[in-house]
Amino acid sequence: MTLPERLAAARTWSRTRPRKTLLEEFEQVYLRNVDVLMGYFARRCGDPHTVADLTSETFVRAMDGFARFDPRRGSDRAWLFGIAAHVFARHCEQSAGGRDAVARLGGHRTLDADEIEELAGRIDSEREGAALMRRCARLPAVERAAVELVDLEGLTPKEAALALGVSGVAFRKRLSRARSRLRKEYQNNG
Amino acid sequence: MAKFTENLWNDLAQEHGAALAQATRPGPGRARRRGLIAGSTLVLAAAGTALGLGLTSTSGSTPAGGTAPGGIRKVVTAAYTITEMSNGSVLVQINQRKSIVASDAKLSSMGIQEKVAVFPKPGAATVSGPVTCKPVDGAPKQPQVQVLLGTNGTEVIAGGNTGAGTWHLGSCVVFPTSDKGNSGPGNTGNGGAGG
Repeated sequence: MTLPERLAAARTWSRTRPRKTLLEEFEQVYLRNVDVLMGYFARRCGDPHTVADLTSETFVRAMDGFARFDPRRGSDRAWLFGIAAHVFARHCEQSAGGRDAVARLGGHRTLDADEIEELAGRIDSEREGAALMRRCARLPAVERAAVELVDLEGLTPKEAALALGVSGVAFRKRLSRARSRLRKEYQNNG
Repeated sequence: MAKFTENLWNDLAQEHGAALAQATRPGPGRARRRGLIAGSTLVLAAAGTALGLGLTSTSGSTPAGGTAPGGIRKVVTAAYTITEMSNGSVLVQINQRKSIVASDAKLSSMGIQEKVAVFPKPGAATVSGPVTCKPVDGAPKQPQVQVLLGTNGTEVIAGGNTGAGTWHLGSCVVFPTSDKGNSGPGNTGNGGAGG
């Protein structure tokens, strides 16, 4: 096949290749990450409704911005954790935080008993993680976030840096400092 | 999927799915080129059912052409059947678990300048037959597009990624190819009036 023929074939393939819509792509992102994000909020909140609202808000924002998400710049999980961190910070600033998501979903969706039980179970299953977070309570917020994203959520330092919007070098310093502090605290407490 | 996560996804898809289904990601270093999406795009905007139907994979079958009774052109694959009727309308029959992307491509090749979004709903269908898609403002009125799930619209769609349960085609809307989409539910589907 000559070069012009190969180019023509490539153009034809490009035109006819069935592509996933962004909705279909986002669906996979949702399925891969919804559980870990619920866990992220479950470690911070003891109320199933709050966990539901914050999880909803995170995915509403993610869905709104998904067309601008560039997978070549980092994993979808890191990107979602970045959104989740903003959502939780806003929730902390405003006690009514997270309600916007419900409004944007067309009105408050009342959780039924099964859903509440499911979310309560999730909160319960995150007790160990929540305990670790309490041990990290004395760390500065940025170091606490570093430990959580890498040691609890399993993100790579590069992904976690992206999620927190800091450089890789700065993030590694934070993580190293946080682990060092925790180690010392553990040793001091016997 | 657990109940909460399934319900959340259904809500997200219902409220925001249509817009995202129509959106494209900008290419590197240049603006979004919407014009590249020619012809029509058939998308499932309600994700729960989109998954349940398994319509994200491509069909391996080759479309077979022909003329249908009452139709002027008919394309049949395992995944879908598209019939151009003698009155100018187009019927898209989705045969579950196969590619809606493939039917999208076929509609494009047929020169239909419309994008169709269907909104499935949980529960059994109460009305049989195809659902006529409602054109949003600015969408072409012709050809009229109808969508039929299964053979008569009342089949139980087995749980795939949707989770177990019964689903039916709740509504259907048509967008112009230049439109970003509309999350409105459109015409009532096989759920009966007001569904």
